[in-house]
Amino acid sequence: MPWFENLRVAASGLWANRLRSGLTMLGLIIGVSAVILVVSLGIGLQRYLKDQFKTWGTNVVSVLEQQGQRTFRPLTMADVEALRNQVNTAQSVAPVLSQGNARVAWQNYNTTGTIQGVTPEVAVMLSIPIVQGRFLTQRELEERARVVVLGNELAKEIFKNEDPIGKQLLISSQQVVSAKDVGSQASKNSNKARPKLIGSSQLLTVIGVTKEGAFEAHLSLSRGLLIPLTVAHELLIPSDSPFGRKVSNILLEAKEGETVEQVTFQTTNVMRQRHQITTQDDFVTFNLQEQLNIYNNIAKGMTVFLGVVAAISLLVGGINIMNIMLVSVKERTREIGLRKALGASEEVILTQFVIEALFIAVVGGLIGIGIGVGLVTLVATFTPLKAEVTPFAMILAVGVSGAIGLFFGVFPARQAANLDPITALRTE
Amino acid sequence: MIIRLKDIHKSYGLDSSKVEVLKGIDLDIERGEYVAIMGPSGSGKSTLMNIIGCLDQPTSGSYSINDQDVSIMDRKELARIRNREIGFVFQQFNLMPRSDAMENVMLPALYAGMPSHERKVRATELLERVGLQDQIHNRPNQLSGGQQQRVAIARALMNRPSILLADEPTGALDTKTGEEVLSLFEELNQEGLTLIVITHDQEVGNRAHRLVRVRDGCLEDGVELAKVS
Repeated sequence: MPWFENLRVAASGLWANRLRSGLTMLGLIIGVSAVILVVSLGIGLQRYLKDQFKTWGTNVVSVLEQQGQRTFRPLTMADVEALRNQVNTAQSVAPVLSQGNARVAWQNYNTTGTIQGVTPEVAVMLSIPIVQGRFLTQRELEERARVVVLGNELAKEIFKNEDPIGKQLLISSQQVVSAKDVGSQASKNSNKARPKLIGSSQLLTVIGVTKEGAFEAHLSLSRGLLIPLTVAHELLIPSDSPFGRKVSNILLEAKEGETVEQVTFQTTNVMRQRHQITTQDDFVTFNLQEQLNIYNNIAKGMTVFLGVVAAISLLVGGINIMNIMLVSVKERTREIGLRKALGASEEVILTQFVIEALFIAVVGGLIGIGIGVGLVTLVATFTPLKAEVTPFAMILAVGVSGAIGLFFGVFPARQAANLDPITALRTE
Repeated sequence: MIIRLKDIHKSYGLDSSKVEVLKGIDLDIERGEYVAIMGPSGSGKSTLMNIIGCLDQPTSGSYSINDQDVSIMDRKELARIRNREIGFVFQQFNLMPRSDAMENVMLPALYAGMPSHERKVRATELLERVGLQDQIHNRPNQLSGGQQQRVAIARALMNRPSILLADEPTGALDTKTGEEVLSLFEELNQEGLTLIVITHDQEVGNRAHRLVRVRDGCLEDGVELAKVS
């Protein structure tokens, strides 16, 4: 019997019991769409994390001071220059000088913010989002321009609904050193010894506003005051050391195709050489790649876990098919007997019932894919998760539902095929 | 000789609980014969019919249809014999309720692998032959009992079988439609078809050319009836 005749017979049989066939499919539809949704969301979540970390700077290595060594030397501009020249896996090197909280005043309003001296390349390196105005320029750095880029939270607090661009802020450097500010801890002791303030306050013009970063690992942005590094060296205290002008940390961005591990390796070598390290480092390096890996593993674990849960619903759907097929065989005993009397061989009957089960499974699987794709598209449209149905997920879903149809269909089909035609014909 | 049954025994159960239903049946039927098999219930006539129809196999003895030894065939070969050599007509018609007359008639040809176009042509011819050219696309529930039985007869003839085997063909019909079915049988027999009718109705039995009685698993002597022409 040609396969399309079989398919036609199966389809008409299922159509005659369409409510039951539909309900049988439903289990599988839910299972397949759940599998597709979970797998796609898992992939979307991993992609989302990767993108987020990219904007937070997963390809950036940060060098920080680590005190406590007898031979401790602070990080200086000379270190920055050396790293710029010698770490050839780094695309750019950006020094940061942070000095904890500064007092900020505009008209009669007083507040505090985190003041950080930076160079223009940091904007590109950390993909700092500018919501208004612009970032610092190389020229402003060289000319020691009295300009500042404000964090959006700070800008909103100070200026409310007014346009901050062009306004002049009165900024006073403070002795308060934030415990979070690891980079400035080096100068903490000496600060107390030499409480020097070059000009107790400065007027700085707001040139831009940045948005809060999702994960501020390298720079404080939302309540930050970003000023040219040269100005910071002038204002912040004390930025001189016997080894040259100090910086709090140095950021290195890996070149395209180079890994943060390579950059870390070269950086560590250069720094050890320069600081003449023999036993313990007086600096630490830090990057977000490890954090990304941890989050990725969590996301993967969740995907697998939810995938297994969804797969169980597929299994239940498969058992449901078997159940209904067994009922169907029982109900159609007389029909099976008649078909056998008319010359249908056992293979023909077996094939007919397997095809019916496969038909339910594959049609259910396809509908499930449709619904799954629809749900994933909804999620991708209305949430930041860039969920996408991969061909892998689809092949998996169809393959699994087909296999389920085959697996759970064969048993009832065997029962049908083995029916004794005489007994079957006598059944009412 | 189209059918040759030789010393057919059939028993059910094992050893002590063994029941012998057929106790050595010898029956030869020639091509073109019209034979009625009669007997009270419990006589073994249904078992005999099942064996003739290749739905069941004898415990011992030999059976051949068209010189093919059926008693040694496996289930797949038996299915082929049922499909090609035997046309079944049942008391309860046994039509596929969801298929129309045409589809019902075509069903055996589907299992025989006849091409779709040929199937349709033959099924149409047969439905015309039994007088149902206007009910080709009616489903069984849209047909009267007599019409349903005629669809079943057309279906039985689909693969040009050697024998038409009818089990109480008029049992579910009233006298008038039963008469229609019987006269259709006579016409088919006159065209050369071999007919075996199993019945307990003496009037139906009397229409055949030969009457075979089964009693307690044995055949009584066959009665040659006057040929009706």
